Amino acid sequence: MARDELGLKIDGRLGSLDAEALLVGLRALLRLLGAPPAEAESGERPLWALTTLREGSAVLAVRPGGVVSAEAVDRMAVVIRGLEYLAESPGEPSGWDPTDLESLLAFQSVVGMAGVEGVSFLLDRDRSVPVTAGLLDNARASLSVATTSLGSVAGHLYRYIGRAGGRSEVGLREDATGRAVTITFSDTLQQKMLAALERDVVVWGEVRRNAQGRKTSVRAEDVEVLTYGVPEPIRQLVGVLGAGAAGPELAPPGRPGA
Amino acid sequence: MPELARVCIDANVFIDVFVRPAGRESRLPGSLWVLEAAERGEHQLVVPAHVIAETLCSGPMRPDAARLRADRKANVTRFLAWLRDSRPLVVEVDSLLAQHAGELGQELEIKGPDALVLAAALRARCTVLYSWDDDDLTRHDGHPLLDGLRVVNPTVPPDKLPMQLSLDDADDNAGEDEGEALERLRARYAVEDADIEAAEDAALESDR
Repeated sequence: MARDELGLKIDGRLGSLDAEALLVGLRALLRLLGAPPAEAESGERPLWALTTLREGSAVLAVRPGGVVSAEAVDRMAVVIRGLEYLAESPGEPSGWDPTDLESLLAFQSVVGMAGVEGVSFLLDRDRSVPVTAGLLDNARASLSVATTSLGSVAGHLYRYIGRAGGRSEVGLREDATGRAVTITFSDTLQQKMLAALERDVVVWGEVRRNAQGRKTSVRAEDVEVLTYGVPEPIRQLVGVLGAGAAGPELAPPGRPGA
Repeated sequence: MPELARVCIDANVFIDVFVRPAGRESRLPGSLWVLEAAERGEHQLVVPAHVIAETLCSGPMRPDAARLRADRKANVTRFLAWLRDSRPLVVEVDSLLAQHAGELGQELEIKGPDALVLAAALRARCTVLYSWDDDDLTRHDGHPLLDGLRVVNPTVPPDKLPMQLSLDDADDNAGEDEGEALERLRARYAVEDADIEAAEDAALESDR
């Protein structure tokens, strides 16, 4: 596999491998990647291009094709990083949401099909992530332990990701942690959110966290662009909220021992 | 560029500076130093979100006269503008932080707001938490639960306190009146009156 490809290998002997396994596997792969890919800014139609289809075991791979958008390339990277993460431990990977975890769990049905001896994601020439019970358990656990609360996240909106499940997505780099958080939003916020791209913002809404408590996504209810000025020197603000600042008839601050 | 050390503050540090309550002038230089060091880029200031509320809920809340209310509102706006523009790292109080604070509060037997400050400092991976609360916070400095976080009073490091009067200074200038002492310090260090007053207070305390 090339670096910008994601492959799927379904182990099994030709003649006994269920043809449906290939169909369901490819469909699940495309669903995981978010098909169709995010539209390029030019509005031209991108696609996931089939780049490998080999017999023996069934091996296939896709990569961003057609009009290759930065969003599609980014999405591929997010999916690959997430697969590697889930192979090691439970927890919603950065940039993933519950829909992605459910898409990964769909591969469980491929594993159980007639003639299928194993299923693996091929990340590149040397790296693969087998679809094992451990991987699927981690994905399942991530779904069950993710917590949701109303809250906010502050950071830099650094890219438009695309559209999935009727909502658009943008990527935010959180100030406090430097980690990526996926922001999803409805059409009513579209204009406001796009205007906030490449800006520092605070986003409010339903904040989802992974098993480690890290913010992974926010279902946005509103966004505010932050603009900064030059801060007033702190010395000019000493006592600004105190009695002295509030008016002459209030006693000024006293001095101990005075 | 190396990442700046993060220092967290308790509400009393903000209150000392922005509210400047009567009877606590001796704490001003230390509290001011923490904020000015952040202003100079010597460390990254970390502010638990509820500290903002505690600060704004200190001092005179609702002056009677309309003009005073307007003044108060304008001053609150200045404070909030400073808070926005100086870009401290604000730690939001969320359910996870609240749960962690609850655990710390139980273990250390401290009140909720203090436990929230500790939890925020730990979440932000701060090296130091500055507080004047010796009853609930600084007495836990070095506790294993704090994972190396120092919890100390915000005293100005000796090498960064030019206006500090040493005992020798006090002896050399024995007999001078307050006005003379202020003039001497002003000429020597060119610092603000408030600093001089606080330094004198500290010297008086030492003499006692």
